[in-house]
Amino acid sequence: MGAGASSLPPPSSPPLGDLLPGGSALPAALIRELDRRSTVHNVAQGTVLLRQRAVVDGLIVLVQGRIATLIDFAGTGDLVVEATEEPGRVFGWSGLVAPRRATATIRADADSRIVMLPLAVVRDGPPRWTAAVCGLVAGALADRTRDLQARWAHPASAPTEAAEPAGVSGAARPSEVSGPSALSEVSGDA
Amino acid sequence: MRDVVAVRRWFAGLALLDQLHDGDRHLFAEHATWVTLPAGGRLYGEGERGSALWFLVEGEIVLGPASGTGPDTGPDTDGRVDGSRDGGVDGGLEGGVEVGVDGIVRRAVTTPGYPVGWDGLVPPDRYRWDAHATSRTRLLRVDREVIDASCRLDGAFAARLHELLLWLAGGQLRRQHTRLVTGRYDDETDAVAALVALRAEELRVTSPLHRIPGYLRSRPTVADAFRALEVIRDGPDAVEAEIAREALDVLAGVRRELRVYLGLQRVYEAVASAPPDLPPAEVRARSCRALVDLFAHTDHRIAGLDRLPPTPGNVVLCNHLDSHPGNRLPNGFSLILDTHFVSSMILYRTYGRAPVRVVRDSHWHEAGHARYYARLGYVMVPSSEEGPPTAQQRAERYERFVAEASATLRAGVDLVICPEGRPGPTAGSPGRLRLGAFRLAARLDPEPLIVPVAVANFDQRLSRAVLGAVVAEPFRMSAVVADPSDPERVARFVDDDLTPRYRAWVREAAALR
Repeated sequence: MGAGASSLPPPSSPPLGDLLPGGSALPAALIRELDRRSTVHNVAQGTVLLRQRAVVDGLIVLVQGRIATLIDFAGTGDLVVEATEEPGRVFGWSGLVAPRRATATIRADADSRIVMLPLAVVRDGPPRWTAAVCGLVAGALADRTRDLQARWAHPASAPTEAAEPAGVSGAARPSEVSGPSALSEVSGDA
Repeated sequence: MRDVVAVRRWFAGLALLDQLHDGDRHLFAEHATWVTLPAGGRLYGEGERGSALWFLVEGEIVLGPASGTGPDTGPDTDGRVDGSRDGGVDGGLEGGVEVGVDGIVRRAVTTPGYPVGWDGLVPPDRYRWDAHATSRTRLLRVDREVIDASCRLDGAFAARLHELLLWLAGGQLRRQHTRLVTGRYDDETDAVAALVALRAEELRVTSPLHRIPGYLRSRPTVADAFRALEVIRDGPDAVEAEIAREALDVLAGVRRELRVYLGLQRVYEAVASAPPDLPPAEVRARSCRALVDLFAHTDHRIAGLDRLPPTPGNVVLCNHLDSHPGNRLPNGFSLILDTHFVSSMILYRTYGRAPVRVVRDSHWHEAGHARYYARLGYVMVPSSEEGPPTAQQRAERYERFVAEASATLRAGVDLVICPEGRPGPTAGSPGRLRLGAFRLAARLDPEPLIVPVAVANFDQRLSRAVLGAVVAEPFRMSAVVADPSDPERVARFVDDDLTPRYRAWVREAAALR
């Protein structure tokens, strides 16, 4: 992570149990350990936090700012498929399952504050910690998928997060790839 | 599978559960109960508490947002089936992410062994989607209480199970991302090639997935690509299966085109391989029936059917559009879809009688063309290949053309003519209209009605086009030209009056939605 200068004040973060949606249900000992070993960072706009295909050794939690998810496809380059300003959004889920490599690139699209959670805490802890974290993250991914589908179905109600440029040359704006136009070709048989 | 041993064997063979231990699978097998849903049957609803994990055995489950109007046939848990009823899902589903006619994104689960309802087992422990069966569907159900109790007893099992649930959740999100990206490709083959390249590091170098782009690049082997992908999707390698599912999602439009292409092959063979003693009128009727089946797989709109004359026996004009190269048959012959659409979907469906078309002679190298048109009893006109005819040849051919056309119309059969003589793109269609059809109509007694039909978008890829047709108001030459025997007046009418109006009808056809 090549963090540059950020305009945000010195880093601090709410307790993880409060920051993570559903985090209060995690085992108390796990929360304590994560709070103890996590680190808070201010990152400048444009900082790549996770590179697609790289080995993932930590979860990234957004505290403040804006983070984009990009997919590198042959012939198209990096394309933004999601962008969010939602505090508590977790990235790096693929570090919890084989082959533990990132399936997308994660980039700060504005000056942002993040928490880094080393996955070693989970891997080295009791199996129930793995179950708890995997379950929590799986639920968040399911919600993201449902939200993306809803955005395809109702593009007019796309959140503001899809309305601004990605800010990096070669990258598409979120709104360019999250609308339903690509699917309209297969809808509505007469 | 009526006993625990068979169910255990089934669970043991599921590549999707590779991450679990044998004991975990045995646990599922021991506690699984059968659930059978009729078509349209509801498995669970959005927002309900996650009560179980299901494993699809056969059939299809569609996941989508709550519609509030869907069917509510509940599952039978003892193997009985209620009898079938219509499914409550709008739009076609191909076995992956798809959009119904209402714009709602739904996902079809068809892979045997695929876990259904996993999202109800993770926080906040409620289902995110409605789940319905679109056909008779059988599943194995493992109760939530059993799963929770096992997790409480065995932390390692809990970890393995939740890693599996995360893998399923991540795969679903990836497929959604893939759809967003591949939607930007003009060509689904490129999108699938990119998809395979994206995951190449995870694949065996001998993986059959590497062959899929090659299959997709040649029309006759597209069907092989689908067969291969379906085998991979249901095969033992979980990563390959996941990529195959994503590829099948991307290729939903190609599958529709494949159906049309296979339909074109059937139409061709219905004509070219018809029994030698079958009369041309019956061959034409067979062809029209096969074409009606073919066009059922396309998105099409027809306006102005009420303007058709009450009886056939008319001169039907049709602007002529390029054929998309993807529709070329293996023998090099392209079935031009626009005139076939007018013949089958407009005239045959209205009158129950297949029309006769005016078609040029085959070129020397067009064996496929010749084999097809030799059986249909159409009115043939010389092709440009024959070179400029002498005045006498021209007169003889024209008299023969008039005699054959006249006989057709007198027999109460429509005569379909493309006055342009050559095809072009929808934009600006029709080009210059030749006068032969109009002079023919003017000199026949009784004078036939002329029915202009404007067609649009047949030059585009069928998976992306709405095929449009507008039937315009019929007329007789004597009603629009003071002296129909005067070539100058006929030419003025066609060039200055009819052609601009015809182009407007084509634009209207292109805009039909």
